[in-house]
Amino acid sequence: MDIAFVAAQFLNGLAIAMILILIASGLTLLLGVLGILNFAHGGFYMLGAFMMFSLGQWGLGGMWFWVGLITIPLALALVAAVVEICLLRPLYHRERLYTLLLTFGLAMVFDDLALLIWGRDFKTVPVPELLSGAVSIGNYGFPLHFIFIIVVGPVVCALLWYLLYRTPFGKLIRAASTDTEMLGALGVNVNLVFTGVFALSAALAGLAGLLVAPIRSIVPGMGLEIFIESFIVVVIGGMGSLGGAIIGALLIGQIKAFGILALPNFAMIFIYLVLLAVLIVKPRGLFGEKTV
Amino acid sequence: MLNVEKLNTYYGQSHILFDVALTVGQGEVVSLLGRNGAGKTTSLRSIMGLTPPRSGTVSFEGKPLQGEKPNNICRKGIAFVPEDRRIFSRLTVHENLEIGAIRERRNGPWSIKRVYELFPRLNERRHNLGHQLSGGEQQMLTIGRALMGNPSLILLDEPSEGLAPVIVTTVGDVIRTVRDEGISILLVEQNSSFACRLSDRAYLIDDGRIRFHGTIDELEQNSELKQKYLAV
Ligand SMILES: Nc1ncnc2c1ncn2[C@@H]1O[C@H](COP(=O)(O)OP(=O)(O)O)[C@@H](O)[C@H]1O
Ligand SMILES: [Mg+2]
Repeated sequence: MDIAFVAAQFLNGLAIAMILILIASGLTLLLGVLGILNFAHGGFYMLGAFMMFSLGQWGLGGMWFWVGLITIPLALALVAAVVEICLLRPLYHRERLYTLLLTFGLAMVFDDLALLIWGRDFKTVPVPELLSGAVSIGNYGFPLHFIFIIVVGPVVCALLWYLLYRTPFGKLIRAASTDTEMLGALGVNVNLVFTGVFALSAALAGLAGLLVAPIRSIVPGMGLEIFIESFIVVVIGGMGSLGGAIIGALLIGQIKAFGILALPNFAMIFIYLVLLAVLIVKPRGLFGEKTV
Repeated sequence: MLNVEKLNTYYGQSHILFDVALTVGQGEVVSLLGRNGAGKTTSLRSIMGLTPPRSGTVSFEGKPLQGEKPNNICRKGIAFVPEDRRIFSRLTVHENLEIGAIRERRNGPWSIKRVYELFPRLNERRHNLGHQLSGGEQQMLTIGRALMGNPSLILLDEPSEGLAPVIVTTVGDVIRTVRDEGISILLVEQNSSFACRLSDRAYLIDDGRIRFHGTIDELEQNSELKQKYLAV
């Protein structure tokens, strides 16, 4: 194992981490602000990837990837807003179990919808032309598309930070994560904040899905898979903690990248071991209190 | 300006308020006094729409409030200052005040600058997070946050509870300042001597029922009443 190989593998882990950050940050925001575990969260990731597949088919004069990069997150934000307003909102004043059941059902509906529209076969998407090269690291070629993902991750994190800590909407999100009832009593329509957070989380998950579309096979069921991984990230980081989700994703990314070398088919075992270790030492996760 | 009639409020199956009625006039400070568990907080929560009453009417400036959501009730000009303060712990003092005005469409004299003039201590702590504040600072902040919405009526739940005497004096001064601006106050207290010094009229509540209503003088002269319904 030479140093260049280790470096390439490290970058690999970083790319995996960026995808997990995009998904886990939305999941943890939903937990922290709305207080719901959204089983359907991975569905937006899957839809993002499938929508990118369709855009790739249409071509759009070679611009399909870049068009999708902007429009897919927006489209999914809109879908999510409708879902939140029509399906989730009526359940907030009921027991939490109803919301859980609903999002669980939604996850299945999303999968079936994808089956219906795109069929059962694996789909693949070409790497966009601009990102199809590779940079050499020693003797290894590291795909440019991975570099792109590694760049997009921190950019999105910075934007998210700006949104949360420098805008009025971010202030409302942080306030809602500690006390929604009081926020309402101060004149804020908390429902709108919830809709905004739900739409935001879906856009982030969709972004992750469209980013990985060119580098993996696209199937219904990929949503559940990523949901489990990103939920582990959230639990390790501490539910509701954005910083925790980022640290957790970076950790899991590296464990996946290097774990695959040790046990090619059982890399998930290392993830579960880390999860177990963290929960034994810090049962509420690394940054386990309700924070955003 | 506030008119409450025959309010009946429940938590689940348990009937808490029985035909509660009270009024607060323009620019008046009215006390709602009673022992722990008498139903004071529940009365304020019912008015604010946080625990909607099952029956009865609440009207404010002539318009009915029942059925409205708390955020709409706030926008009509009623501010709620909860007894447990409920500062947003992950927001700074300054941000907490901004939240108080974030949906403000009402014009009025209150601004962050004026709140800082009223509570210089908050200005010193403006960059501190909510959970770093002392109890007294939290009480100032929750009052300041309510003022930021330029309310015409403030529902103040036990503002003197758990505070050092010097802070209680400050809070009393602030209540007078606010009243002198023409803002009405419904002051909930167990501490009747504190409340009586500030109020024009008082209600006594016990077991979810209004037991007495009158001027402060009438209450002061009736020691039997105070003995029976207040912890003196
Ligand atoms: N969330 C709740 N659920 C059930 N009962 C409650 C709740 N809050 C208060 N109560 C009950 O309602 C009664 C009145 O409470 P409260 O209005 O808080 O009294 P006060 O503010 O005068 O101390 C008490 O008997 C209390 O136990
Ligand atoms: Mg109380």
